[in-house]
This record gives sequence, structure tokens and C-alpha cells, in this order.
Amino acid sequence: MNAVFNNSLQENLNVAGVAGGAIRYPNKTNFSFCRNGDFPQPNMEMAWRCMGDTFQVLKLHKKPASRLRWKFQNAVLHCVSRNDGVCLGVIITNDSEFTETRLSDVLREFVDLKA
Amino acid sequence: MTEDASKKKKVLFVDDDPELLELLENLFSTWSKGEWEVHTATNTGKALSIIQSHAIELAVIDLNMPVVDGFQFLSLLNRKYPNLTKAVLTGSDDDEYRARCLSNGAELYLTKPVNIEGMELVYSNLNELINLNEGEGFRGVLRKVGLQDVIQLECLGAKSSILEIANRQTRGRIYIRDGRIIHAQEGERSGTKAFNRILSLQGGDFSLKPFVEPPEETIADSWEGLIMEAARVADEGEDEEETLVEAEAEPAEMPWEKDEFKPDFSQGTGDDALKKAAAGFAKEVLQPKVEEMLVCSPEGDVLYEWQCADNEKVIELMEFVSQQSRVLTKSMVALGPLEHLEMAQDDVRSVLSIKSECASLVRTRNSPLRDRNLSFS
Repeated sequence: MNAVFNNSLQENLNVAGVAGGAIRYPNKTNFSFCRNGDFPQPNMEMAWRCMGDTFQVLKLHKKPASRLRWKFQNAVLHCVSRNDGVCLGVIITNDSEFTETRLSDVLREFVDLKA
Repeated sequence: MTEDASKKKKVLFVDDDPELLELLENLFSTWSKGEWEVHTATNTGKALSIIQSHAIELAVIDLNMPVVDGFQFLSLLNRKYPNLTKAVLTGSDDDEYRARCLSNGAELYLTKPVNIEGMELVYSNLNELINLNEGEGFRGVLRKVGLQDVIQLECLGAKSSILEIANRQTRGRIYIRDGRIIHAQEGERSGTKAFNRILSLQGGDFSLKPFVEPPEETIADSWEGLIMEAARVADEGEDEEETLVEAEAEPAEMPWEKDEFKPDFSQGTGDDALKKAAAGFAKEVLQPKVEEMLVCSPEGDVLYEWQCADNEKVIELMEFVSQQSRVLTKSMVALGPLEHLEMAQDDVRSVLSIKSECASLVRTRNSPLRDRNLSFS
């Protein structure tokens, strides 16, 4: 199952304009990449943990979400969660040429992926 | 205290297993090369005493403890010591427990290791957390400490103090000696009647004063029983107060409730008028409708609330988001400060914003989408 998601991440998001991305599995392991020196890989792990924790806490507070968008001053952390608990996180800086429309397509594809 | 000692990171482990505590103390003191000053407590009362006397920076709490369990203790600490960094170290790898702890102020939820490698991982995670949390942060500002919390903490810590309470209508005092409530005075009332009245006050200031003997001792019940009874009495009187509040405060008219947003049937009843009305209706259902809104001050006081089912839960969520954003921006400075968090599920969308002057949450419901659209724009 993991190979499907990992390949999808590598093919669709490990490209210019994306600072980093990760697949987070329900067992709290991540498959991630980093393409921007401003966001070091060990520190990015915080983002993926935060993504998983936020989905869980929202569920506990009876405000479940399948999509999160952490809008920071210089970048956006996009997160999407599938029904099977697998999550995808992507960090895109404001100056990136990677458009929201393109990202939306990738996120939709991730949600529809047959594991 | 020497200069070196004052620079040490003060870490407290709370667990009812003394053997585990001894192991943690030995290992972590060694691995930190003397940078950690490790304290241990086998119960929450002892833990509170250590927190108060040793300026603890990080408290690591077990969940399954007798008398006051880890959830209760975490919640108490979150209210009384919002700036204390908290983590949970437990044998339960349960997602719901994890979420409950995180939303109650824990920054890490770790499972107890079964081997030395696991122990090293726990140490490195805690060390990372304590280093990350040096310096300022928004955390802790969004929480208002309640009168009941202070009483619980004073009693749990077996303290002696006088709690003075004042608002525009009245003044009161609760005398606590060695963790027992022995007297309460409010206006002409004394004893449990005064205690119940003080705990039912809807607003005011309170402060802890050094203990002096009261003029008389009017209370002999346990503090747990007193607090429960006060809550029951307050609940019984609540309906009356809520009715008063509702009668006094007319909800403000929302923009979408104004006449200009309603379909206009005044131009006749023919087909054209119906078409116009239908067009107006169609336009209206395509717009998001606000379902819930809460604005609160940095201290956690509700400034504006509309159809919010549980204010406390939303404030907890705001604290959690504030805490997470602080960790993220500190570990990845290039992100810049958080502007807002958007959350979406089907046709429901919420925006949570945390600023220095206030925090807000607005939840809206969009019209049904024709096809699944994951875009926020």
C-alpha cells in the first residue's frame, strides 16, 4: 500500500516550487522529502507530526476536517487526510510557481488513489 | 544555588512506578551530561509541590495514576501553569488519549519504551522539546485560570492560604489550611453558604494571600465534596441567571438577516416576480452561511459568541492551534508567523485566527457542491 502513496508523492510533488512534502501513515511513520534549505528535513518532521495531531484533535472536538490549510506569512502548509487515515502534507512558499489549481488536482488524486 | 545549577533544565517526571522513575532519573541525568536536573514524583500532590518550589520547565506525566489521573492533572497544570511545558509518557498507545492530551496542553505524547533504544528516543524527543521551548511564546496567554482550579491546586498541594475574591457586588474570603478548607466569609454569610456563593460568582478578581488564622472555623467537609456541592448549587441557580442574561442582551442583527438580503415579493405575484424571487433564492443558497462564531480575548474571555455549542472546547482548540503554530514557526523560521488555519470537511469550512489582541473561529456551510472540490479558493 505504501508504495502507491510514496510513488505518487515523488512523481507529483517532488518538483520545483514545492519546499517539502510527506505522506504520514496511521502508524505515525512518514515518507518525506525536502527541496528547500530554508526548511531543514529534521525540522519539517514537526510539520508532519503537527498535521497528524491536528486531524486527531479536530476529530476529538467534533470538528472533523479532511483538509487543512495553515497559512503562514511566507508559506502555506497544505494537508489532506483520506478516510483510511493516510495524510499528505505539502509546504509551498508564496513565491512558488506551483499553483493552487495544480495542487488541488494533486490533492484530489491523492484522495482518490486506490491503495 | 550556583550559576551552573541555575542553567540546568529542570525536568519533572510524574509516575506511580518508583522503579521507572529511578531508571529515568539515572539514565537522563547521565545522557544529558548534567544539563538536566531531574526531579521525580510518585503522586500529583508531590509533583505540585516540586513544580512550585523548583521552577520546573518540563513536566512529563504518566496517565494511569491513582486518585488524580494524568488527564485531570494535565488539565490542572494547563490552567495553573500555562507556561510550563508538558509531555505525556504512558503505556497506552491510544489515538483518542493522544488527542485528549494534546488538546489539554501536552506538547508530546510518548509511549513508554520497552528497550534502551526506545528510552534514547524518548530522551532525544524530550530534549528537543525543552530546547525548542526556550524563550517567549503565545502559549498560556489564551487560558483563564478559574477560581475552582486554584482551590483544587491549593488543596492538592496541601497549602495554607487565603483566597480573596472581589467583584462589584461583593467581597469574600476562603481560608485554606494544610490543604483543607476551614472557613469562608462573604458579606453576612459564612461557612458553606458563603463558599457556595463565592463559587457561583460570574466574574471578579481573586488573589492568594498568606494564611492567617480565621476568626472562626465554620467548615469541616472535604474540599472535593465542597466543590461538588457548590457546582450543584450553582447549576440549580443557573437557569434564572441565564434567562436574565438572555432577556437583557438582544442578539445583534446579522447582515444576512437584514431585509435587503431577503427575496423581494413586493413587485407583484406574476411569473416575473417568481423568477426574480427564485433567482434571489438561488443566489442566496450559493453563499456560505455562518453556523458558528466565537471571538475571545488572549486571556480566554469570550468577547463574542454566536451559536457556539461549547465555548470551552473551541478555546481548547484555539490553544492547541496556538501551541502548534508556535512550534512550527520556531522550528521553521522561514514560514513566518501564522495568519490563519483553514479547516474543511465536505461543505463545512472553518477559519481559525490567532492574533495578539484576540482569537476567533468562524464556521460556515457552503451550498452543496456539484462535484468534489478540494480547493479553498
